[in-house]
Amino acid sequence: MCLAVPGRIIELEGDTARVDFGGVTREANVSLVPEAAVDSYVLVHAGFAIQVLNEEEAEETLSLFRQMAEAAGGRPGVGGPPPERGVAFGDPDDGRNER
Amino acid sequence: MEKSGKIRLAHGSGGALMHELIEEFIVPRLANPALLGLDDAAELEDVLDDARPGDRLAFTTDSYVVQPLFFPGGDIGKLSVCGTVNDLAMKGARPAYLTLGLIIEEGLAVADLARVLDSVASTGASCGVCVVAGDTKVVERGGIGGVVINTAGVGLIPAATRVSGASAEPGDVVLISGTIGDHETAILVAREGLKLEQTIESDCAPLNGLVSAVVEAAPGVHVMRDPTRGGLGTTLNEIASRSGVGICIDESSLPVDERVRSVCEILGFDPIYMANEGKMIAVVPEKEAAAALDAMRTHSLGRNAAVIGRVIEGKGVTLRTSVGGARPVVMLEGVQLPRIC
Amino acid sequence: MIDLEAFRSEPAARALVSRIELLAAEPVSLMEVCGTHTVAISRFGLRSMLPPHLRLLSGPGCPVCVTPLSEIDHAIAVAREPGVVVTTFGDMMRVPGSSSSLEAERAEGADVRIVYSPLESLDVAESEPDSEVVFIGVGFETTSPTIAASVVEAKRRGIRNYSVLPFFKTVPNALDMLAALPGRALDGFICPGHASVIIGAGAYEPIARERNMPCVVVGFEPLDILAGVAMLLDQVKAVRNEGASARVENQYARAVTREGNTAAQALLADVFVECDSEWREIGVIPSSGLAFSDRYAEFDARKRIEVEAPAPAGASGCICGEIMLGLKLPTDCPLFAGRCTPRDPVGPCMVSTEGSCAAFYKYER
Repeated sequence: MCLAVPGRIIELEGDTARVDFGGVTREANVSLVPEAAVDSYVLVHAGFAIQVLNEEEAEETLSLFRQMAEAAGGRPGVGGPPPERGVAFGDPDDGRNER
Repeated sequence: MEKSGKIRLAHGSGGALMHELIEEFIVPRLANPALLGLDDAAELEDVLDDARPGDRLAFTTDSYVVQPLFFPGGDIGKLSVCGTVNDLAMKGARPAYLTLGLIIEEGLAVADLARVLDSVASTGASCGVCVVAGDTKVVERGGIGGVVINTAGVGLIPAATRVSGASAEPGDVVLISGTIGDHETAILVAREGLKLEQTIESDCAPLNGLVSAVVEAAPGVHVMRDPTRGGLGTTLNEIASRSGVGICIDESSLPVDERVRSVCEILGFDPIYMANEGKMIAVVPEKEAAAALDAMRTHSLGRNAAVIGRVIEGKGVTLRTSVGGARPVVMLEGVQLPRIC
Repeated sequence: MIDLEAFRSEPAARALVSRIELLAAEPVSLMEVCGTHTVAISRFGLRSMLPPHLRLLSGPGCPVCVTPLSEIDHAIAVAREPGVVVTTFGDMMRVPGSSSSLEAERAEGADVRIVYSPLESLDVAESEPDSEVVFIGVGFETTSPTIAASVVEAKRRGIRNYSVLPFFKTVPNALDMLAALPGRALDGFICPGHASVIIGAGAYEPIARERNMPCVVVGFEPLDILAGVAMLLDQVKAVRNEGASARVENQYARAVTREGNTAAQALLADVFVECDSEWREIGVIPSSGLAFSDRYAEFDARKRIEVEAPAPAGASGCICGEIMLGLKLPTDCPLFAGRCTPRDPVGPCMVSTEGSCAAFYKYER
């Protein structure tokens, strides 16, 4: 439970870090993550960094997803209710499967 | 004008102080011939001269209570002009005249009132409308946040233009003129003191020029709406409901500014429900969609315009999510609050 | 840079959905116990992609939903005290107490302010020394360390007009209770992602072992959830059909370790002690809450500000308790979408954006 957002530490002084969340930069308290350093990726919840993200694990997870995506080659799943098809502009058949 | 630099109750009482406020402070800032008459009502000929058979009068009003009064990208003055101009424009009207009703809280700094009025004047000038009638009241301190504004607006709808929220048809294409959620995100950041290093600006802008371009390129346009309070999600629901159709939109095609997206992720907000004050939705017949999109993208206020969905048989608004799932988009209930969970 | 888009890739999602369809050959019920998971599942439309006989249940994972009426009423009573400034996360504003809510109290003139971080309360306390600032401490283990840090900081700065209502809940014993329910129809737990960052994936090992309940700690991106569901189904199959023993697996390894955040745990152990706690509509769960330790007892707002909370209202017909325990669905409730709607909620599951009933109302009808 709880909304926590990943960001990169770009500056660190004492218990306060400046964190880049992708487009916006905000301060966060790092007293809960003593091992945090500049360039660490941290998870921020309620203004506090609660964990330094493990970049190797992140890369492994992403790599797994990438492999799945390639193996799937974009084939739709079988069974179950079909999700809405893409509403790419110019395709007159789109949007007919209304749920 | 006033030694204390603050508006006092006496400024609204009808006496000499009020006359001084109106004649020496307000009117000169909004100067135009109709206003300078200072009669009980404005006499307006031009709009009647321009009218042709089949043209209709568009007439609208709105009140503005935004806090803070001054925010990145605008202020209550600019908003009060844009909001009403845009309501007229969404009906296909060429906005002509505005009224300006000011309810000022005792104690408002005169300098702030000047800033608001200058904003009204310059925004009006930038989109070709002027304030022809107004009213000023001053109320006791407490509760209205400095000033609240009502504007009413009137304009002419050309005979050939017939747009309405009830006119969407299955097969129509849904376009948005640019990034969503900017205004409300900017307000929230400013009001809640979110301490971001970057400034997020409201998109507050008058859309009558953009609308003209769209109507010229796509004269068969069915619906034009600006997604203000309640955001894109709420406005699309209104259109779907009034037209008796369903609308299906594609999450990956929604233009969202990166900073707005990040702030929304941090606070737990959904950009689909955040108010916009300088964007328009256009629902156009499929054969005119390319021209409409092109007209938007060529205009300075429509650079990030995109096709975001389709009108279909059925009801309600459905979103196809970025991973290929589907979820209903309902009307916003109440107000979004920042959450940690 | 961690690229969020890579966690939302459609082809990968489809591949995972295909896997899930193969694994979920028989009816199966999985419970997530994290409000943020409830929202993510709905937000990304994941249920629409999954086979219908795979039931995703929403457990008591919304801290706002499980705060009992007596605690909400207490917070409201505190807000009514003159000279008190109540600070709170936005989540709590609209939760109905017996007869009011913090939002309603604010409309009546109470000084209730929404903060994003508990540290903002300290700034208020310092700049308004004549007020008594009370923070509503609701949340699970992701959040309680941040309040603990605020209390330590208050002590360091010599702030005397700040206190906290310690209404925190902790997850593991609640999960154990759910797993031990007689006649339970749960096949596996989607364990909370961010609470686990603090307490560690190892916290669920006793539950997996003693209750033979498959557990997977799952992240919050749509691919995380789909991958976590696939892992859990794999385990459920092994436990059902091959006599394997249930265990804890970790899908969210980039953020969650087996031990968790030991600095945060040490802070919690310093500032708080475990206590029994009442969960709304469920009842008292042993060792599922936090109270202040003796060292920090001065920050307990219940001792600092005496209020008489009214006796809680009688039964309303709300069955949120049974819903949160996975025994019933929102659609089983006679009040659902009639007397009880998001605009006019009776129970907590409807008022919170993460509550099962609110999610069902918005997304599943």
